[in-house]
Amino acid sequence: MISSLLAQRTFWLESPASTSAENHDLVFYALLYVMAFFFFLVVAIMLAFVVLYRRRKGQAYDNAPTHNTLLEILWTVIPLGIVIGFFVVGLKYYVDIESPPAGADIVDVEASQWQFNFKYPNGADSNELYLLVNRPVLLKLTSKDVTHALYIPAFRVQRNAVPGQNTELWFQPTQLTAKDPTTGEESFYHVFCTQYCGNGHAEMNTKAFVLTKEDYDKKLAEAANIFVDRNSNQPLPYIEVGKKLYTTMGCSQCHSIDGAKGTAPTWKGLYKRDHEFSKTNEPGYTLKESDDDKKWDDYFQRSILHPEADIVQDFQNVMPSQESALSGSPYKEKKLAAIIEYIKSLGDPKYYKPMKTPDLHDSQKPQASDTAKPTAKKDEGK
Amino acid sequence: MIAKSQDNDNYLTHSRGISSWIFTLDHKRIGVMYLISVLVAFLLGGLFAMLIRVQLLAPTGLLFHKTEVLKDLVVYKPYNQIFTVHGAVMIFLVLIPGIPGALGNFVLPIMLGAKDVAFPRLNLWSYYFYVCGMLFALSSLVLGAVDTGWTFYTPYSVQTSTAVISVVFGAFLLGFSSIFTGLNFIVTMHKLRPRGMTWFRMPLFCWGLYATALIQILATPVLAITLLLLILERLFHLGIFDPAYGGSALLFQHFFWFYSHPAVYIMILPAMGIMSEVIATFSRREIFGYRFVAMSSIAIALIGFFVWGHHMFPNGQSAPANVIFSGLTVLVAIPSAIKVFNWLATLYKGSIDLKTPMLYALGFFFMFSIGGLTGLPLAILPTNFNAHDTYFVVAHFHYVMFGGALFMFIGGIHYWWPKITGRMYNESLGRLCCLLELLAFNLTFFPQFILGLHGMPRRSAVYSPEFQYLHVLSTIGAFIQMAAFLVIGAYLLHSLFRGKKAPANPWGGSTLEWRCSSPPPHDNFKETPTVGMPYDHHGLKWDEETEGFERKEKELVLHA
Repeated sequence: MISSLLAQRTFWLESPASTSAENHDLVFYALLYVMAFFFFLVVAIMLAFVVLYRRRKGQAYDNAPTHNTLLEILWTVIPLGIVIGFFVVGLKYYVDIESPPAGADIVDVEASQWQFNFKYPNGADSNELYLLVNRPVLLKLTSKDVTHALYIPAFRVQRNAVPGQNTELWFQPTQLTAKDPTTGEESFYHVFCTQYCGNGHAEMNTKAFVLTKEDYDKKLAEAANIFVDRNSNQPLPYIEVGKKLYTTMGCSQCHSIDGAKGTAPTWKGLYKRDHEFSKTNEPGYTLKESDDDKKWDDYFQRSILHPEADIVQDFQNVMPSQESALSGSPYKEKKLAAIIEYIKSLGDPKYYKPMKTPDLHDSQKPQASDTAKPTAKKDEGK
Repeated sequence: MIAKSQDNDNYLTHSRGISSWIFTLDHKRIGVMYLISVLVAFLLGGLFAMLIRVQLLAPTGLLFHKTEVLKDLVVYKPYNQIFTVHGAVMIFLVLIPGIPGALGNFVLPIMLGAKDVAFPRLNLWSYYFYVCGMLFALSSLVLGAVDTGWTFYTPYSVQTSTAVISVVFGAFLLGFSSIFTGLNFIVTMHKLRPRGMTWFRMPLFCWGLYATALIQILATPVLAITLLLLILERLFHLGIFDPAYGGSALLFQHFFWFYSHPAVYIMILPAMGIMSEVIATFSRREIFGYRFVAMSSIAIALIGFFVWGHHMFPNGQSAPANVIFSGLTVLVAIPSAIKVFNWLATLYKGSIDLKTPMLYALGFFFMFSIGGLTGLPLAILPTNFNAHDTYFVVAHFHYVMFGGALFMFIGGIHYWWPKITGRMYNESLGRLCCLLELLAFNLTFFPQFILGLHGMPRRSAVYSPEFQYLHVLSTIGAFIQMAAFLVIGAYLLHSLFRGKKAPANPWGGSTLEWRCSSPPPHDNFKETPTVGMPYDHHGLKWDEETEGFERKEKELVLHA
């Protein structure tokens, strides 16, 4: 009820779009009335006195009182009571601001010169902020370089991202951002950097979208698509994606790519090398240079999803299955293919035949359910 | 006592030649040199402000914007340098030294019936530290104008390639200038008050300067340490303020605001002092609740030391610290409110003469009320998070610093102009420009409150198109203000050559400076006067012959 009333007043503030914004607006409008009252009181008394007591020729000077203790006490105590009252009300809501509810969705925010990067629980990341309506979200802020701040006016929240320090900010969006039915433009909430951070500070801003569960999942699936270059919106070669996954999925912790010995076989020259196994998935299984591509592909896929199946001579069965890491995200098959492509590229060059880079259409729509989004969408915000 | 208006010898004619000015120990000449330097700096800072306003006429930036060829974000760098220089010049070269250095130096010893400040040589040193600091700070314009904002926040200020060290060293020297002035004023008020002037018979301008001086000598050393550490951090990467070397970004902010918040009281307290003088004189009234007005200055100075954390509410400061600083910050509003109510009560049953300085004082009620009251949503935590580092803050501090402190500085210049120069300026032009300034000021800065509440971040070279109409209003206001300031400059200069000779007491002021001739003689007073209550207007009558006020009745001396 209160929030719908406040939404009408747009001269001072834009409509509140989060629970904290509704609280903020209550305090703000109360303050505004008090400020307006005292301002008009002072100006009215001043103007009245100026008119009443302006200097006239031949005027006899009155002896007016120069001190009144009661008045002094009154105009000390009354404002003091008012400001302390506001401090207490402010404190009440501030406790709320500093207490993120348990179970809030966590989004990691990395600020850098001059962009925000939002990382979601499903591993996806984006430069625009996607939020679920009526769900509390906890932003964990860090900075890569200088001090930045994240400020969303519609939610009335702001917090700095400080290098060498962790800061947090939570809120609960209440108003969906909608698509304009006539123009088809998606509405959004401004996200600004308010802490001056160098040349590009003025352009360090982005958009926040508050979505239904369905749209949110779709956006996140889109964001999780690592097969498209964010800047050019062009598909990336599989070998590049595989290279990225090599570090992000943690392969690099055990598998070297320069032939160095580790807890696991190096990927250098792995492809089409004769293998010796201490344990195999089926009796008599062998893997030789002369085996066909299909057999090698099957081996790689099995080694990633079920590493315990074949154990290479001199190594232990220590690798966890990547099944869950891959199945939690879309593009499972493509990611597998990308890692395998990368391993092949590290093998003997005479066997490596680079895979054709898939076209844009293909990479944008890896799953049938994702066809709803037009492909050019991502570019509009840039 | 009839003023020695026929006496030809005054401080301007006492000795001649350039060296008689450069090496002068006369507080009045040092005050005049300060006044000229500060006004030059004000002109410079004002020009940079106009560049800011022109840039913001268009959402994509009118002066510095991306083109087909130049797409890199470095195109915004000149804008970032401009707002930094605007802020640094206005704060360090205009607002902090302005009233104490120029008007305080000139008026304070005369108000006390003294021949000079306690340490005239230190006073001259203070001026030359100011000049050196100014040169260092402005040399950065050639060496690579700083683009950090006047707050020099680390780690950006450690990383930027611009001439941070020269500006910061300039500010370091300016700090010494400020400390010297403060020290001098405190000793002067302790030791050189005349017979009969107890602490509570000091004019309130002196109380304002006393409170200011307390802050100057207690807070400025912290700034000096901070700035030196910043220089060392840049040179040797000691790891104090830059997290990349193990330092803390927040530590710098604490150090910086420990000085820079009290510094805003260095700017506003002397202005409040002028306010009291002008209100008393042009209402022909004793200041209502004198002791409350005097003590509220001291209260502001003391409480002002413990509120610096309110600049850092969303900056990563701990929650308990936020709560404590918020609580202390709302308290600092009270002494300011006490002052405003007492000034209002002074108008009651007064004899109000709407001369130019009085118009500035009435304007102060208007602007300072807005500026002070809008500090409340910034002090209360939940509302701070929506306004912090937006144009709301920009509007708030311009209302206090520009609409409050600087307008009272201009008002004070008008008030004491006849005393300083011995000439009267054009009164109608003075009133007209003051009204124009007030209107244009509000046109410039009121839209910025709304801009801020709608989310416009400060220090941005470009912005979202929906903010444009408010920025255009603001720029129009700025141009009118500039025009009015140029007219003020013109009629003041004109008065030096063509202005009517000023009587000793053109306004009916009751404090001591109106008892000596205009301009004052070299030694101010032949004999140290004896005084009673500071705002005793009894017996001050308009004299048609001298066109000034003369005291027709015997001084009402109240013995201590």
